[in-house]
Amino acid sequence: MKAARVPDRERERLQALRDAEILDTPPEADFDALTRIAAAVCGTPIALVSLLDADRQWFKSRVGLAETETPRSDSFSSHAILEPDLLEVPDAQADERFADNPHVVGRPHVRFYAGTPLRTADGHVLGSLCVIDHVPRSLTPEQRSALRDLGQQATAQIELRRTVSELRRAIGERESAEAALRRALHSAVPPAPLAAPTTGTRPGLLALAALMVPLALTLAGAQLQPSWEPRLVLAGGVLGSLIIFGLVWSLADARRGALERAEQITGALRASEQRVRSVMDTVADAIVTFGRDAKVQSANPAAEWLFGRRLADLIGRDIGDLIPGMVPAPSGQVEAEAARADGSTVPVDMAVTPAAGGDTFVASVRDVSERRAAEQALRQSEQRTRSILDNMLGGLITIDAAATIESANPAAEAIFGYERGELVGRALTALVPEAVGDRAAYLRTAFARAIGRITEWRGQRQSGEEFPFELSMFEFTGGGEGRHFAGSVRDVSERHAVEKLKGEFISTVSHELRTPLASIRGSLSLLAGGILGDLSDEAREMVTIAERNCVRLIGLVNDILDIERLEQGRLHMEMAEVAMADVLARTRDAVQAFAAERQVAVEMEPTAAAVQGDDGRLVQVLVNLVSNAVKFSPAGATVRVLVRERGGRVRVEVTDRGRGVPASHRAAIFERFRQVESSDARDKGGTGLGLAICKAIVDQHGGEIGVESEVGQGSTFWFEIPSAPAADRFLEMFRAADGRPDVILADHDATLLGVLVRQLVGDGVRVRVAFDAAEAEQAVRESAPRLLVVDLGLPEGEGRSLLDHLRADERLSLLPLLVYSAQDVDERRQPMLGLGPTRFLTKSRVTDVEVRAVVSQMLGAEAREGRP
Amino acid sequence: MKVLIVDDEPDIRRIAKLGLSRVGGMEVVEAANGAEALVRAKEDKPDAVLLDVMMPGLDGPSTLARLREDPATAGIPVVFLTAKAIAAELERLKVLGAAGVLTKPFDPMTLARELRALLGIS
Repeated sequence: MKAARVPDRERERLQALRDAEILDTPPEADFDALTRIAAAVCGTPIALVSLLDADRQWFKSRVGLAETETPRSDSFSSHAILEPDLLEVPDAQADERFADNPHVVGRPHVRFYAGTPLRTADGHVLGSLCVIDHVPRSLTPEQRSALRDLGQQATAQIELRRTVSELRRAIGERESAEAALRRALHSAVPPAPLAAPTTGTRPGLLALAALMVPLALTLAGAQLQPSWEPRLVLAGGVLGSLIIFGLVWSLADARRGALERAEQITGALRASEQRVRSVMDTVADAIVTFGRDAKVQSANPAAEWLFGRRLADLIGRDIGDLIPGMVPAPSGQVEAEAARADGSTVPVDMAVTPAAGGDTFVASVRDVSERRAAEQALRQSEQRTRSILDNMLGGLITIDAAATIESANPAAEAIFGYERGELVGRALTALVPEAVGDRAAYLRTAFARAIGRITEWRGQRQSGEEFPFELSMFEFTGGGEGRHFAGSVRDVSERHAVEKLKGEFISTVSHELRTPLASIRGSLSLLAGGILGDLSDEAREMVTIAERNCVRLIGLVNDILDIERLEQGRLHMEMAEVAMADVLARTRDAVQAFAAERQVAVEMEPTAAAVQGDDGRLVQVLVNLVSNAVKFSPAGATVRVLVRERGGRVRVEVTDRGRGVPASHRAAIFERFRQVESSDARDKGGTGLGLAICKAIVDQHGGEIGVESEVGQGSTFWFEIPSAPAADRFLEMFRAADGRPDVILADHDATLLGVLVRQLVGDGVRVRVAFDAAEAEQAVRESAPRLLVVDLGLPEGEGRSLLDHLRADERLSLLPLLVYSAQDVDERRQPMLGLGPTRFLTKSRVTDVEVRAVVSQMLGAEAREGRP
Repeated sequence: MKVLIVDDEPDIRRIAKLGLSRVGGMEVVEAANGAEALVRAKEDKPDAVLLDVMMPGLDGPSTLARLREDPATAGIPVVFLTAKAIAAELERLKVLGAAGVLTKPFDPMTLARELRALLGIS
């Protein structure tokens, strides 16, 4: 027996065989079909697909043979693979290579052998497809050709398997690469925009070696494309032909299926490749892959843009050049700086993900300079706000819906006497004096009234000291869940002290200035009156000048005191129904002498109008306006006073033919010490306060004052105040039940009611009025007020009986009560008049401000007792 | 008609006296403080008292109260003469039982007339 020589490139051949991953695999129908066809075509009892391993031949498919493998050394196949074409042994016993071969001598008693090499595209012969007979014979040319074709089919099957397996591997790698890319993109780019970041002049080349599978694609493309239609030459009879045709058909079918699978797979790969490519090309984030050696392997267009380098300049560059301090190891998501070619740096967020089994890293790099700039701006804005809050003198406290302090600026902490940060988390009630009783109820009342306006409350410092503060509240959004309120807080204890001082000062000035003025004025008056003997003409003239200026000085002192009190709302007004005819008459009396002296006529049209007001103060206003008109009229002119009633208001107009008031001065002249010309004070007399006082008085009447004028033609000064019937209509609005009122005011004096209602409503108090005891009782029973304010002077002792009725009703006997009467109530009688918490005020002894304060206090007290 | 002028300022007393006597033809007695006023009122039995409000020691309202306590002086009408000008305070003075309130600075030429008017004497 002659052993076959070892083929050339045996190592590579064995590697190719192992790569085919076919050795020791289970039988497969595709190969079995081939051996059956071969046996049928050649008419032999045995057909084999023999694969030649290092020391054995292993049969992938076999017909007519039990063994699965035999030693390589005595195999026919080891000879067959050396042949360029077909090895045909017509009679093995006559062939010196095989005569003593165990397979010839013994089972399976080979006499005839024909084998065709299974040669791959690379030229490696993996084994053979062979037919064996027990008798000597030879193949016809057609049979040889068929055997060759079948051998090629077998080879194709083997290579197909290898292709599929490589494709699978490629897909696996591809999927892991895609997953790595996705991870990289997702970690650095939450919602990655796919729009192209800039115009497309940058090269779109993308070399992502780690993500590609070029070999698999080459195989799939080059070797699966050609069509391998079987070129079978049929031998034998019709039956044999049919059998062979059927077998060949099924084989072709099987192969077609495998091809389609392969094509699907390659299609999917291409689509995936396409997807990755388009994502990489259009994604706004720079994506760079680099190997363990830190050299850049690929980069996308965004990377070229970010680093300011062309692709060619990026590839092979050390990643440390691009991201200084970057080491080739996955480090999750980090903030870093990207170094651009021009030497500048860009702040970036970077995520590094390993891919391709850890040999490659995908770095996803996002330019965050805009975001950083925005963050910086936000930080600066926050700092600015914080700085303002920290340095402002007003306190600012924010609280949640449960009145827990969420924040407090230093001013607020200082106001309440706390250290930095001590207020946060405390209940707001800590800032309310213990003396108010139920602090929470006090706060609720405070909040309700302080929303959107400034109100005054009592607070408590950490030391326990009580003090007055101003509070205005507003609800704000953006504070997170739930409702949030901010309170602006101002300590007004100092202001109160100053106001008190100012009041004392005014009182002192009032006394200390008036006393010497009284002496001067009195002395001059006596001198000028000639009581103390005749004076020379010049002396009398001088005394007259002195007296006139003294009177002016007194007027100034009076005006200053008046306006101070007016502006503090402390000027007492006796509101009543006033006939305007009366006001006009008194004004005429007051200005007549002065007008006559100036040779100016004053014409007043008769009027029947009546207003709600203080007659003395209204005369003061009109005297002021008419005196001014006279003062600025030329001799011989006429000043006209006209009263008109219109729409529930009375308008009084004083028209002169004076020089007029320039438009630029028209608003200012109602301010203090503002005259059209500074010389007016000297030339025309007057203090510069008259119009300011007029305005203050008209304001307190709920009216308006103004001037219409044409320079050189004269002026019309006017004021408008509510007419008397309008005041009644006004009260009517508060007579009917409208929800639950805070206060029921029972008084038969509509004038006083009108004033009080206006003021309390202005304070945010809900008011209902009653004009007699019966109405008051009905109102109390109907609407369960929080406070009853009653005038005991209701006709015929009605006030007293009203209280008796209410006391008899258990439900109403504890109603808070404010007795507000014209007469002092004897202290001994007071206990008999009380209901619940009761206070007594005498109308002439208290100012409006005090009444309002008491009402507000009692409402607060009622709230903290939590009574209905 | 005899009037008692009570004021701690001699100048004011002098001017008021001139006005009341020379212009108004009244007889005038003076007191420089509340205590002295009580004595003068009792001894001189004036028809009216012109009483300053702010004085050291016994002030105007207290002097009025003391005058009212003594049956010998309780019936003498009192008119306050005050440098205060706040309406509420003037109201309060009236409530104390004064016949009226005159304010400083006053005109001595018309003082007697105004006093008579307040007292209802024509």
